[in-house]
Amino acid sequence: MEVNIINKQKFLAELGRLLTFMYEEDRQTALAMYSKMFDDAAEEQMLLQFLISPTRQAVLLARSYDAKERKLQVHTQSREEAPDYSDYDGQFPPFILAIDDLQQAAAAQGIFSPVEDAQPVDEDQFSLFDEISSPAKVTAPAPAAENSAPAQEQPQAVSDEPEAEKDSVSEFADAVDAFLADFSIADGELVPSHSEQGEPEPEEEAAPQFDDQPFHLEELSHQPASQETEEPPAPAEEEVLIDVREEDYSPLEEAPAATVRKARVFPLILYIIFSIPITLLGVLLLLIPTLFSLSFAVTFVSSGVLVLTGAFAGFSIFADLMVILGLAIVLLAIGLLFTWLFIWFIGGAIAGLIRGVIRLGGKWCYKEVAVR
Amino acid sequence: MKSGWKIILLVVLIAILLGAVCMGVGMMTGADFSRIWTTLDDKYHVEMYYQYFLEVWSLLQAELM
Repeated sequence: MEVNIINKQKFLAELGRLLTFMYEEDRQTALAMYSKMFDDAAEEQMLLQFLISPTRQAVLLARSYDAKERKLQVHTQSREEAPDYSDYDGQFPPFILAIDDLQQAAAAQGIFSPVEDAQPVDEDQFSLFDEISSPAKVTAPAPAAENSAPAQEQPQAVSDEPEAEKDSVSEFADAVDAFLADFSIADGELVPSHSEQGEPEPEEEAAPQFDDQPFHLEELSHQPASQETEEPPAPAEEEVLIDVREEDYSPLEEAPAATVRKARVFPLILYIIFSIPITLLGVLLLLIPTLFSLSFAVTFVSSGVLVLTGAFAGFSIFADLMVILGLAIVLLAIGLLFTWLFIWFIGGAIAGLIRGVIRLGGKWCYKEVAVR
Repeated sequence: MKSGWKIILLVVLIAILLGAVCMGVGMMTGADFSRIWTTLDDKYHVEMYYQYFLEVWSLLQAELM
């Protein structure tokens, strides 16, 4: 029994990892329906043999999944609202119908537990689907008592035409097998096998064939491949059931609201009245060392130039010439330092003071107002 | 500005060191400061300008005091 539980969990985990191309509501719905099938199965191994593999079921769902129309429909629903499938062109989505066909085929083969007093069910009614609106049932399967009703219904619903159902199931299984032959699994995604390499891969349980170009599962649907731009990467094994395509559900209200700066008039007037004289006083105070720096720079640079020119004009003794050259270099160096100090006072201190006053005024006298 | 300060200080420090080396070499090889001053005064009249500024400063002190 423990082996069966592990197999079911592995099957659902692998299936959930392969169904990342679906929207989260649809994926949870599909996983819930498969979980329900496992709960209703008389023997889990029989159902696993009937389902064959998660990849096969993923391909089955991918072929019946219309991502573009589902996107439009999912976006019309709020995130908190339970998924409503009843308005999908007056019917259920094709992937739900595909799972239901599979369930009926399994019931026709007697996989589900038989019940004596089963009641006939209307074809348009999916009692199973009524219970899967809550996605939490994927990880926490419903109690066995609640699951008994669909198990009672399914064998009765398909028992009228068992031969025709088996034929359609076999044809459908052949189509899925042919489709599976063209694909394999690489890193949790379906990737197309190279048809020109020879024989197709027999099944996904064999060694997966990796491809440099990952295959997008939207191509499996009937719509063109340009329906979506990017697929999220395959989630890790432990988070396969909580993978959500968040970028597709980002609502408009989560976008950053546009704001505009609005002046607070009275503080702005007060700030201007007080800040302008204070700023002027600060600039005047800074101009004193600035002008001193300029005067010292001019003095030292001119002195250095005069000494340097005089060194080559009137000195004939090498020792005196070396002293004069050293003095000229020192004077020019000090002149360069004062010149830089003058530039720093003008471009750094005074301009920084003015910028700081303006920035402080913008911080105190303006406020961010959201645009309606 | 920070990189400018670094560059300027480095250049100034190197120039002062180079000037000090030159002055040291000149003094070790027999430089005479009175001879240097005389040569510079003959060329630029440093003593005359120095006396002129001293007179102006004394006049300003007398007017302001």
